[in-house]
Amino acid sequence: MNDPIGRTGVSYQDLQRYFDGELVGTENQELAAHVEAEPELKAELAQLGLLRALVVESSAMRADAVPAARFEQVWSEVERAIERDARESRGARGPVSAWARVRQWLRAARIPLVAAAGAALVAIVIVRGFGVEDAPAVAEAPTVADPPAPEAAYPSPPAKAKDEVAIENVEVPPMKFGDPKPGDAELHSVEFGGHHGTIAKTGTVTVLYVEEDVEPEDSERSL
Amino acid sequence: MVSPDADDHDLVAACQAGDRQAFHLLYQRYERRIFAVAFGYLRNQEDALDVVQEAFIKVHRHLPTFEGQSSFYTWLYRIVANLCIDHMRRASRKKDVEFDDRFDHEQRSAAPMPSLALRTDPAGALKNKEILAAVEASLGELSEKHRAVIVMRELQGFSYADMAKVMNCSKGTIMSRLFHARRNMQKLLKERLDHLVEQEAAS
Repeated sequence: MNDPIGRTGVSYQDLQRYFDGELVGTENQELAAHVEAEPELKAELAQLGLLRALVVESSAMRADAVPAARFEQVWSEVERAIERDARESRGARGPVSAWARVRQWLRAARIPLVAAAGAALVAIVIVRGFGVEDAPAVAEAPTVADPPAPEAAYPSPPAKAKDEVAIENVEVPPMKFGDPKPGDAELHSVEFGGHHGTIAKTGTVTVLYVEEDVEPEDSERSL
Repeated sequence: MVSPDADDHDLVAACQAGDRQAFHLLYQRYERRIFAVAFGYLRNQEDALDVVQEAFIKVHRHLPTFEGQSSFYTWLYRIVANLCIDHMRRASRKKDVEFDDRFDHEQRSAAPMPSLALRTDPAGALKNKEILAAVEASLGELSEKHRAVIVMRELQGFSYADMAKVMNCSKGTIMSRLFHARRNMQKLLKERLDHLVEQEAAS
């Protein structure tokens, strides 16, 4: 690259810089004089010029071959992006759909519905835990009922294992569900006489799990 | 409304004032030129059109801060060059077959320069599909770095300093790369054109 071309003393690098317009002032004038005097330099310049012409012309032909409709399609995409940018910069949002409104309403009503369903489930669990066969139907009594008295009229509950907690005489504390209001509050658990419940949410379904508390182990290790 | 004959400066000013039609005029003025450049780098029509789209979206986003210190097309060409270089880096679809810059220069200068038989009318010669295909295939066979310097210099008219900036290297590296790219292109082209001549002679 730095070797002189023929006997001219001009390197290919300098000729390239001359061809590319990178030389200025006296440097440029001197090289122009060399080119005038040396056919070998002229030939090299012609090769460079030809290569440039081929690259430029072939690229232009390739661009001309693209249908105008294709460029219009690209413009449509550009416009779409411009409009998107404009919307984002305004912070504007699209109109709210009817379905979105319904979902919004359901979201607001979620807590009261969950609370009512939870209370109903708690009532069922309590009644079944005491072995009541003719407990009121959930649909008829959606609120928490007082625990039935364990009178003799009812069949005896199945014999409990030795380590199970006797719950017959456990006093059930009043449920402390306040008036539910729409909002972001979440129910995570419920507790009542020796039982506790957890609330799990899977998709749009909320499930209330209630189970008996495990009796704490009365051992040295647990202490 | 701005005239379709308005110069770039006036169109840019109208765009900055929010004239969407002026921006469309700028797009129409440069769409094919930008495509030609992008195709020069990427050698794929859809990729080149993607770059056209990305470039004009980028231009629109940054027009409010464009101060006109360089001409609009220089600015646009820089954006396109950067997008294409990024695209090539991401894609890396082809292995780099670039000529080593440490190539033995004595051997290179001793090798005869290709004699191209297109000197009188290159544009006319390219109407021959086989010659056009030979040029395109030669460009396509260049390494990405060599093709990039050829496109930047021959199609975009970048200075060595601009090229060094876009390619993140020194001016010396650009000069060396350009030298090898041109020699390589001439060699590839000569091989293909010689083959064409042989085929014609045989037929």
